[in-house]
Amino acid sequence: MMLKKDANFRRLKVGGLGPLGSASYWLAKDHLLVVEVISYSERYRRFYFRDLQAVIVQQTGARKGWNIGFGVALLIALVIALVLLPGALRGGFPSGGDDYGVIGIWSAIFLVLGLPLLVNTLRGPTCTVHLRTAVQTQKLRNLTRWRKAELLVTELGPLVQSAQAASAAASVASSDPADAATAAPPG
Amino acid sequence: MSVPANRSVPCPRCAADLAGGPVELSALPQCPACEVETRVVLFPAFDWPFAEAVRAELVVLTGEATCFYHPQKRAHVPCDACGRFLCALCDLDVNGAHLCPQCLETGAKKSRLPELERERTRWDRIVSTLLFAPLVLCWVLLPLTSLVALVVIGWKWKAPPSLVSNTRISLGVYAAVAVLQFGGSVFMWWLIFAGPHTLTTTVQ
Repeated sequence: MMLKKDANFRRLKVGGLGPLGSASYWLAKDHLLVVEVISYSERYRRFYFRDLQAVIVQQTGARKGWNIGFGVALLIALVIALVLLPGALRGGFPSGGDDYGVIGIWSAIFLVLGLPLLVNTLRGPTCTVHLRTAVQTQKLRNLTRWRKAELLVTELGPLVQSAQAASAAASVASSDPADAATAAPPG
Repeated sequence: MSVPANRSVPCPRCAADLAGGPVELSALPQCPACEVETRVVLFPAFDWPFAEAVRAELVVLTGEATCFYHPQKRAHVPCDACGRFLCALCDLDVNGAHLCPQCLETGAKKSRLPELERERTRWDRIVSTLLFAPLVLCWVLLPLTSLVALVVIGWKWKAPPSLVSNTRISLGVYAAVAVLQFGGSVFMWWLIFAGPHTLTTTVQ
């Protein structure tokens, strides 16, 4: 059964496409399911709320790097356009079909370079997200924007807190009253 | 007796201990070593000590129920799948169910336990590569690759589908594409090697 048709799962608006594949994040009753599609396989990773110890979000310089790359390319294109365009247009001003064609080509070049720059800037700072359990620290794929990481923490936080509170309460109920203060959940 | 919690949090970037500094982890502005902006959200489990290791009890009285896999250990619980008695060591907790190691292995192999499933093959993607890659790379192979794609579709039609995209619909569409591609490519081959021009040559 597909997850989007399964009432037990709710898709988080984080993840998406990346250079090596895609990743989607699904909240179930007691765990976070990460579905990674890489080449010809689909991999599943489950993080049970009772096991999660921490979420570590760390800023990266990827946005700055991409912006510098696109900015430099845009600047080079602008310089070339300023040098070539007046000569390419008859009389220095668009006056015919060919002139509009030249302007169209240059507009397309600026759009191809400028649009990713704009989108990259608007999407906000980049980051890496790691989930820590008692036995491992796992990096989450295709979750590279700080805003999306905040969304994940907002969605995940209350569920993990309540699952761990229930787990601790069950442990306290089943343990000796003397040990209640330091009770750990079963397992 | 339990082992104290591991309170060190290594920085994912430089591996320095984020919890080693004077600042509270939850209020940490950046990694003290690599100075990268870092946010650590802690949950209660961070402070929990490690659970005590499970130990199976030895049989004390004769006639006591014993573990199927360890006859010298006292039975703790029956397996929810096969009913065999299990000691505390063989009792594997899978989302509240008690399973023996053999049922767990069988369940994992036969995909009966969704919690243990880690990977599925995306046959629809393999078929799409078989159908569309030759169009760019080597179109003369089209009759062969479309036929192979049809065989794969028939063979893997009932394979466990993807959890995130509708594999059956994709395979259905690819089957139609493969039939068209096979017909079209065979016709193209016929045109090239045994088409009307060869008939004309024969008549002349």
